[in-house]
Amino acid sequence: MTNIGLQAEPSFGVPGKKRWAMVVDLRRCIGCMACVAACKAEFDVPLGVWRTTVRVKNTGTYPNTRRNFMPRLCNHCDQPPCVRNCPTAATYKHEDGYVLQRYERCIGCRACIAACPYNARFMLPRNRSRVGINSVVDKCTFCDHRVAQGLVPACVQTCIGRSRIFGDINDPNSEVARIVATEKTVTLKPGKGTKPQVYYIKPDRGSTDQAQSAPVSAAARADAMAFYRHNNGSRFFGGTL
Amino acid sequence: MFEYMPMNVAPWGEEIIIYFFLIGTAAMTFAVAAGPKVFGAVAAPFKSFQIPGAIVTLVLLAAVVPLLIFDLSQPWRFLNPILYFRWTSPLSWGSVFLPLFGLSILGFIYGHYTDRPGTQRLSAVLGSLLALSMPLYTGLDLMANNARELWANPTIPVLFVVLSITSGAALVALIMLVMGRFTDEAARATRFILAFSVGITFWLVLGLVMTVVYGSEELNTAWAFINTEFAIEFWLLGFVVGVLVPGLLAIGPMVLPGMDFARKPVVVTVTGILGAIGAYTLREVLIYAGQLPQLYY
Repeated sequence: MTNIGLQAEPSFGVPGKKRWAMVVDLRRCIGCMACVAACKAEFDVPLGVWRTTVRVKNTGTYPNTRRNFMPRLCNHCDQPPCVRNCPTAATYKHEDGYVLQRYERCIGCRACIAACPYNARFMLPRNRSRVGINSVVDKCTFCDHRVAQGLVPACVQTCIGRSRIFGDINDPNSEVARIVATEKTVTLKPGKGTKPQVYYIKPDRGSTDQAQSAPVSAAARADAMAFYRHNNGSRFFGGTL
Repeated sequence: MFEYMPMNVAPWGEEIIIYFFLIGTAAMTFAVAAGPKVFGAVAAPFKSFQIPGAIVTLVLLAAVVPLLIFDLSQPWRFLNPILYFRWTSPLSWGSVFLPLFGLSILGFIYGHYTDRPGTQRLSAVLGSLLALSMPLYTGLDLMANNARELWANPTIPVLFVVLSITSGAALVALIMLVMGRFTDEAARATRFILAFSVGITFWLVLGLVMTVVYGSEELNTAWAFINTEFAIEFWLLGFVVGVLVPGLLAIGPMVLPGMDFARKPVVVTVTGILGAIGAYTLREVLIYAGQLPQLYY
């Protein structure tokens, strides 16, 4: 692979370079949503959009049922298509592996949202009052401001089950490097060639596969239907946003 | 708590589809208008369309450029793609080609009114090439997204070009008919253009359908969307009204006896309008159905 269209060379496995990565141990996730709340608080993420989510999905039929949790966030890919596709380099790749956003350059064309295979990007609404960053695309930053201070991302800090583990995957002594080397981990949509840097331990296949996964419960069906009605009812000028 | 799927929603809506349709139509209208200057006698039937066509293209451009700019959530930063040009983004190329295309049209009109055939011919040639780049870059804008499998297909830019040729020919026919200049020669040439573009559209759509039917799980999901939520748009408006019927009307007189009525300028105009309906709806379905599967993920 090459670094065509990227501002920094892919750093995964390059000695002497940092490559921040996250492992999500799905055996430990209890779906408490503390990570979502911590992220919302850290960045004042507005209602209706998320930097990180925990997808909840019920499978099976009573009495043999199971509830699956699937934390999702930006995968900070080593070959990020959003970066290549951005017409203004508002989305860029940091040499330590983060995929970040220059808000002052973003024109809100949504090309990066279209390019992202992980549904990790969103548009900040216009009516955001407390933080003066509006109407531009936003995403998870791996809390680069906290990592620069020697802290872990807010979602990792707050995770009560230690389901989320963060570190430099290029450092063989780090916990993430050890886990990825010893545990059976998977990444999402590896076939897209994006080299995602969020690793999952023991996911439910129904949660990670590209899916005809129409919601099962009546409540979720109603929710999804409302979502699509909203999208289809207002298609003009950001109605899909 | 219940099974709950919070999703960040689809990025591109109807305004993008309208823009793609109108810019393609405008571009190919100009290509026909500039034809007599570029190709000489071959495009002679459109000689009377040169200036009306260029002016209509300019009017369309004046309408769609603000549509594109105000679709941005930061419209006042619309020059950023030029200031921070990135060659890996088709949108960057489009943002450079679009103003150059506008300048070429102005040069074409200027050359005509100041009696400078050299300027007019140069503007016609450059403008025709830039006109080709308009639907091409919109198609590449989709094709570049390998995350959206329905779009990540090299036939999409070609399909967008031929759809634009169809809708452009429709506009040419309509304007010439309204102006009373749609001669039998011009109608014949327009019918040939439509036969060519609708015929290629038929094969490209067929190829796309086969690719989707035998494709990945995501393509199968897109196929399900096409056949449920967008079934009427895709099959009835897009394929039957937009491809089969105009195809029959455009090609029929060449091969079927008793279809001479389809040679009439009015019928050629109707043929074009039907093709333009197909050009719009096929784009619409492809753009929506390409985005929706991912929201299930």
